[in-house]
Amino acid sequence: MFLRILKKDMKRKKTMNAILLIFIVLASMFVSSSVNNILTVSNALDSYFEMAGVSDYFVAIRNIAGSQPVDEILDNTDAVGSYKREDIIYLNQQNLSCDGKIAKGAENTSLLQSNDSIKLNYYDENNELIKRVPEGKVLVSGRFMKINDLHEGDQVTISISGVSKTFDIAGNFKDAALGSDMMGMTRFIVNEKDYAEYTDNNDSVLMYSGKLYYISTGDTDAVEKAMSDYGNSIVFMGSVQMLKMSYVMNMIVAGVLLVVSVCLILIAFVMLKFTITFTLAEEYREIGVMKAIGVRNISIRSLYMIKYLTLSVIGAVIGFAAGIPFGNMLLSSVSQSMVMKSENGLLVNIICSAAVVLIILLFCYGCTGKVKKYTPVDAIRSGTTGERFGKKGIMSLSKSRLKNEFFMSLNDVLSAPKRYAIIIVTFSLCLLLVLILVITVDTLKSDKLITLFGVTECDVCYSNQSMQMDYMVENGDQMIKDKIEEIEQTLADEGMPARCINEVMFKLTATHGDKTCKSQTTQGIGTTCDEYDYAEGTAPQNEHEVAVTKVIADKLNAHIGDTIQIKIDNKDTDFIITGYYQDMNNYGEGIRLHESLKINYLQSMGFFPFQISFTDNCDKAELNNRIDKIRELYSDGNVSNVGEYIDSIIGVSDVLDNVRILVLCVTMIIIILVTILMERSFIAKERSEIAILKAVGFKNKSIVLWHTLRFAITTIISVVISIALLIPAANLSIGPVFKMMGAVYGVKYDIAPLEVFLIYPAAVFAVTMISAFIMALSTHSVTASESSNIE
Amino acid sequence: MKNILKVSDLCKTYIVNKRQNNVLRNVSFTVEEGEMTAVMGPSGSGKSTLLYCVSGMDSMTAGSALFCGRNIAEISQTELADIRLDQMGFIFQQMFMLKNLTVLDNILLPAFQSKANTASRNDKKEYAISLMHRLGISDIADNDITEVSGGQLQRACICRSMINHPKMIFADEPTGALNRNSSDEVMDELAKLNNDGTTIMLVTHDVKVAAKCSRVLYIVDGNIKGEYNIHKYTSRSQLRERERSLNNWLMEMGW
Repeated sequence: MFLRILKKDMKRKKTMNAILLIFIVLASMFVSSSVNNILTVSNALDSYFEMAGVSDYFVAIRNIAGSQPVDEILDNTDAVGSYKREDIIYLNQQNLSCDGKIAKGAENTSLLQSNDSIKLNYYDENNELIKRVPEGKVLVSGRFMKINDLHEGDQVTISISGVSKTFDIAGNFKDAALGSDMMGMTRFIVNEKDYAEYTDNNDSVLMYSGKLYYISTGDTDAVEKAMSDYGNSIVFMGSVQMLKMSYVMNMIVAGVLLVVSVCLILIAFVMLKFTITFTLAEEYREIGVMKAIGVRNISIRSLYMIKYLTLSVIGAVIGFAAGIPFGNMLLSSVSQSMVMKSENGLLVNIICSAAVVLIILLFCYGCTGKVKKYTPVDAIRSGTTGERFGKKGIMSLSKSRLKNEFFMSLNDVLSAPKRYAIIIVTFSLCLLLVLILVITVDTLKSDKLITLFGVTECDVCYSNQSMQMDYMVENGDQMIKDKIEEIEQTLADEGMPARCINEVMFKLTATHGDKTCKSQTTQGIGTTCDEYDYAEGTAPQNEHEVAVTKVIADKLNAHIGDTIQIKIDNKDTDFIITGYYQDMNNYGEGIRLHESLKINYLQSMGFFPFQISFTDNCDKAELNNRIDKIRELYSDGNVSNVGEYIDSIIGVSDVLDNVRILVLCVTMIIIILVTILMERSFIAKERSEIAILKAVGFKNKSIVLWHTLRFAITTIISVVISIALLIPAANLSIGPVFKMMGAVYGVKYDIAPLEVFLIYPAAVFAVTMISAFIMALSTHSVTASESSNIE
Repeated sequence: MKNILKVSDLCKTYIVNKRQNNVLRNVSFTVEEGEMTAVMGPSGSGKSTLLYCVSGMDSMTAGSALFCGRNIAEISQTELADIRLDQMGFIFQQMFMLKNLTVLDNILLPAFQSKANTASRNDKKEYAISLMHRLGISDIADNDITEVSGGQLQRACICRSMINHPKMIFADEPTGALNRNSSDEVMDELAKLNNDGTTIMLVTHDVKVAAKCSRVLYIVDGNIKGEYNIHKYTSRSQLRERERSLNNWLMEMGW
């Protein structure tokens, strides 16, 4: 008999059962894929570094003639357990070309390495260990292939000191130590014979060569101290934690996906509970009748349990199957740059799907508890038991000037806020997620962000690494000044009056008391210290003053007004700290020297691009024209606008952009489903009201408008809540990531008013309205004559 | 007197389980302006169906129903809604009202919706209050509909049906859910409205209710079997005699 009742129920309540099934499928899909992702992502970085064999401390050096070998220092440092060394050649943009043109996306340092010097485990796109690169082929890490639109089989030419070789690209590979988007270093691995062609009988290549050390130690501070005395040939050094931190942006993507997944799970379960409760509430008459004829509570409950068991098992099986590709799709953006192995993934999916079935049954069991409350009188008195209607409205039509449809919608929302809270919370959450991503991406692409990289605002960035490397000589400062003058003159001659500046980077050791650290140190040429932003204190006023980042101040345990020593030309010089600034370049580490300080540029380790600011306040169109013109003038280097330059440093805004689209799509699907479900339940619950309104002469369009307007009001409330919570929510979710990157004092989010206040809210509003309107059209099926026989 | 409703050869057929069920078979009758007509008959005879077909709430299979000279069967749903709003009033057995509105707001809702009713919002409100006063429920105007009795609520439904000055009120067992006292009060109010000139057509099982009407149509198996006419009900003193006379007639009809 139960089966017969079940069959009839499935037939009679097709829509409600179908919606319930969809939510079970979604819940199962989201739970299984998300839990799997949570387990995979949370362990991903640690397991990836372990698989790759990256040790506790990393040092990259340039080979400088006469320097003490690093091997010797490491051998003599007690804290060093063991170390691995990779010999490499440093490359710059001018060394790389595709189809005869200088390659893009290699603005930061790149490396060439022989496959016989591989000491870490590198993995290809299919997560297979790379063992050997055939002759004439090259494996490429990072985003280089994507930026240059290169594919497997395409060619890239590497030219160093007169030796030029063209390689077939064998594919992309994953480089744990240096392969993060934020690190921005591209590694090229070639066959040892090809590599030898660059190094054999070619002394001039020596100045480009270097070594990478992966050091196993239990005391990274001791290793850092030992290396601090090493000298100026260190390009980069840091603990494995710092290397891992460079994946922070990939982890943002993973984090966003986790938040999305958790939200999806919550929404799915809330919807499930609502649907089950609503279905049961709708069946008070059947329950009452069953009780009237003597069916026991347990039998009635088991009837529902069987129904939901059937639905949940079907839904869970479909959800389980769909969860596997869905989970892979979510992970794909993260897994491009790291090896993510999902151990027992299938088992996790099965367990999660089973858990969904169990939770639904628990929900159902809890909800069917109400069965005990229903009495036969409910069936007789149309489920009212004397209390005919709900709570009264809080507005008065007689005192209002609003049109009936709008009044009724507003009054409904205000009179039963609990009923609409589920929509408001869901929509707010969805829109908030999207808006946080929007402002994060916009901020990362914003021109204003450049000041957080320790430099001043500008219009155009021009870099030419090989030319700039020529300034790494004693009188490099004068050479840069001459170049700046030349650039300014050239631009003025072309009708583009501009000011040009340049930042020089040093890696200097700073000491305060017993605290020592090696930090990136910058000095501006063509600019003055007071042109930069300071979070606290003031700009350095003379050559004996410096500004430091808060990270460095904390490392040195120094404060504004304290005197620190910086080792310049092997001599400790005293400097007074005058202020703190923010620098996201080197995880927040940075020291700014006064422009008047004389320093030997032989110690410099790199240069920022030349920063060009037009002095005639040109508009955006003119700016773009000028950038194109400068590209023609300086075709030997890389010319970009500020947004492009920042993107080349951070390198994940396009990934986040994709995530934004993904989240937007998921959000829209949720909004459509929630709207359909809620409107369907509203119609079912308000059938009598709709019928009576039709009976007294309300037209279909008025009823549809009434129902649609309720969603309009709730969506507007959701939009207001989302926008109000946007900055606090962004500070809470994305703020810590910027902080980890060095923006200790926080980031001023770039809010594009059109996007944040109009486009995205309007998109959510439009989708809701269309869904609500289409669903509300089904009120047409309610006839005025139903007023006579509505239960 | 002028016909307000003229029904000719009205048929209504439902298909249930592929079987044709003829609920109304060639029903013809007229209702004149100012009449108060009751439709009686056994359960399932087609009384309510007849009421809904002639008021345009349900479709007809065949025949015609001329309301103020216009065939309901040929009028679009949109226009029918306007006719229901401005020219007809409806009272149902269950006192359905919008739960989030007060009693007064429920009464005012059709008035504010009507474009034909050109009175100002304030005038409409005053008229609603005067109707409530007339039916003795002015003290519950701002009450929630959960706070009033069934009789009061049904009188509020009568006010709602009257708010746009309809030409005719259709009532489907208006006292079906009320106790005897409330039922008498509601019927007295309907009789008063009728005496004031409003045409009323109601469906009932109750002889006491039908006895207050000036005409009774007796319907059996979708056909009008007989028609009973009596002068207008004006005072309670006539009621016993009217009931007795109607009862006798109904007995003849096979009631």
